[in-house]
Amino acid sequence: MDEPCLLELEGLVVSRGTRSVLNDINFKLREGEVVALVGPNGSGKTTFIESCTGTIPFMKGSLSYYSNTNDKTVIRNKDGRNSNIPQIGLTLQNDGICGEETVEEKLLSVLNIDEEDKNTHLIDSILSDWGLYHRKSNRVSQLSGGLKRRLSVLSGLCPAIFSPQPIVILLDEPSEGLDDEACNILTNWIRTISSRGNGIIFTSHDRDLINCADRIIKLEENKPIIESLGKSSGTIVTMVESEAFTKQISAKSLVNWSIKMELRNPIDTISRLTPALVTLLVSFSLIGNINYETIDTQIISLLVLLPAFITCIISPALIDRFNEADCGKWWYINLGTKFRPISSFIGASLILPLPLTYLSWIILIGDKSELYSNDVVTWLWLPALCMLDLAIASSALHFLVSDLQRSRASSASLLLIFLVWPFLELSEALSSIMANGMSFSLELGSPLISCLFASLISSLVWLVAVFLPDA
Amino acid sequence: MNLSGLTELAFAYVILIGIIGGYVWNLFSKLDDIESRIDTVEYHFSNKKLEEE
Amino acid sequence: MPDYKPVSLALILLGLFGSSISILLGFIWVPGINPESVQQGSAESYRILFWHVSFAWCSFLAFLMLFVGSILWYLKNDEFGWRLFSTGSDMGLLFGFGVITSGPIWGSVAWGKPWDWGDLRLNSFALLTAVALFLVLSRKSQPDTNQTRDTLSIIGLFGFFLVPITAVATTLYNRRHPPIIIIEGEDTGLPDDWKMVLIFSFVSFGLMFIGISLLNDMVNQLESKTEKYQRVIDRGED
Repeated sequence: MDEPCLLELEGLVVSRGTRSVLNDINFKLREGEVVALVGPNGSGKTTFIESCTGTIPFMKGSLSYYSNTNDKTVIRNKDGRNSNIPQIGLTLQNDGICGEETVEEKLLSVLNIDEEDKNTHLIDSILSDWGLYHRKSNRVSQLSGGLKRRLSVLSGLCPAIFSPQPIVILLDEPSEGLDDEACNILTNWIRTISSRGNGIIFTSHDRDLINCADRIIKLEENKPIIESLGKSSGTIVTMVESEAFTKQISAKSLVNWSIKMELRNPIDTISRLTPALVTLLVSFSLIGNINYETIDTQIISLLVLLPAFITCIISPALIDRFNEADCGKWWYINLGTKFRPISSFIGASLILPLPLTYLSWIILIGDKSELYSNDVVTWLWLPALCMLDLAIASSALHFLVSDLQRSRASSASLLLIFLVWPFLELSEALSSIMANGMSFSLELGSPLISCLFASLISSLVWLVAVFLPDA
Repeated sequence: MNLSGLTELAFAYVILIGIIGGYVWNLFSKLDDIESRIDTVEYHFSNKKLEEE
Repeated sequence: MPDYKPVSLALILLGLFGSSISILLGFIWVPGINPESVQQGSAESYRILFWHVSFAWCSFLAFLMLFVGSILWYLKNDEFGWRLFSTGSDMGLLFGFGVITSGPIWGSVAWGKPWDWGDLRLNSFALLTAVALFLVLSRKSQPDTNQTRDTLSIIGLFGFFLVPITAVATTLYNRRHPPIIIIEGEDTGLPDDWKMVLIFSFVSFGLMFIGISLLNDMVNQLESKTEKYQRVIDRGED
């Protein structure tokens, strides 16, 4: 009897520009099966792997995953994405690891376990098998290319070792950059992991690695796929036995990961703070010697909020982290539709607007505060807090543009002009508080309504930027 | 007539005509460039055909 | 593929000729406005209106093309949709730029200031032109893959979803900062001779718009066709 199915592609057609890369592919991956994808460069091997993750658009056909009770879930079809993929193991061609994280952290986030977990000692054993234990606490950026590749391959295989049920493992050119010894370990691990019921698909040009497959699929552009049987060579080795403890990667893992990265190297905070402080100093030198009574409160309020606005619209450093070695793609594949909204939150400037607005008030107004209502200091937090919505909308816009392959070559700032309106509304609110004190009236032009509109406009921008791409 | 107003207006019209003219000029030069690329491609294909014969 | 080169050249030249005539008519035939009613800028500057309005109408057509193209590509991955998208974004940038260049000159006469954050039309055109500029630059800098097209069509749609937001925001802003209207708006209470020149100018611009659009589409199509052939040669499959 056939083994249960894990993954299925039906009538798949995928295009790149005007040429179709994959044409009418019908494919099933069964439990315990190892499939090698071979073919010349540009034949669509990586596209095949990406199709199995459900992250690229299909012209025709569908991708489905099966649960352990054999229930079929369609992940994507030609109309778009229907649901997120279950837990998989994944090694991308470009590693998918940010240089800032340590070797141990990478494995912990792949397995979604805390550093305090009692099972973490098992990771040490795995790292030893792959000759990485002595580098456990090193940042990935300090590893050689070969060691980095070992870690990347190991990260793809790891979830299968600790998973309570068979899962799909996708490896894109896993042997690329590995030495003979590591290739040998890889071959044996593939056979061992598949013997536990997991299904593995890998792409390769390496003849020895291809020999370990049960089935070989040859891809060629505009030609039907050719299937043949593999040699299934390789040895089953002793591997850590564990009570299954791995969990599917969650939104919390991404939040923890991004906080850790920022604390280690606070480039986001610095890149936002520097231009904001420069703006503040320029504003101070411009209006410092002018009689404030002659300046419109609207202009003063604009200048007070300007540094916070600038911190909000700067491109998040998280995008650069995600761009490093396709790290963002790795998270996107694992988190699915949750990735975009979460990234827009954690990539936004959520800490700086509030203190910066108070700092700006102190520096720009200082001893001249008696010219304005006493309510300002008490209520300054209100427009500053609404600025957070603007920050999240701006971050979502930056993430939308970062979907482009060469996002660095496109000018995201052109789309940020939309955020001028919420900013004008907030300055209007502050100006009203400065001139007339805080009012709780719900009339048009009152501080509360202006803040509400600013948040509403920002939220609409956020909604459009976050939900259209994955709709 | 106010001369400075006229100058301002003439300046604006010149800029606008310049924008359109420049754009059309750019399109035609792009077309020439593409046509030369097509010639190269056709030359390649005809050579290939001769070789095969 | 039909060769649109002679037709488009003829239409562009005819359109340019007609629009130049509309400038002349604006100067010699249409009566001027009272210089005392103008606070900023010159009373002569209002004559930019004959081109400004035509630019605005043509860019509206271009943005409509861009919108339809974005929807067709986003929903159906339709190749014709992508052609509309490409031509719409190019035309939107060209004519939108014309609107926001000529707009402040008109604004100085009409509202007493070159830019008004409370004016819906000017702001919407500025935003849509910014989106068109983004799309044109990105189309040139990004590899032409389905993923790129998906993202760009989403940004194309994004521009249009945000027009209602612009409408709400500018209306709110406008209520608190009413613009100083010095002369009547361009679409109300216009004398007949003004209207005639405006229509003449728009027809000329329309011919030019069609000519440039055809040429633009032809260039885009030929480019992708050449790219296809070159790729065949790259792979040695000729």
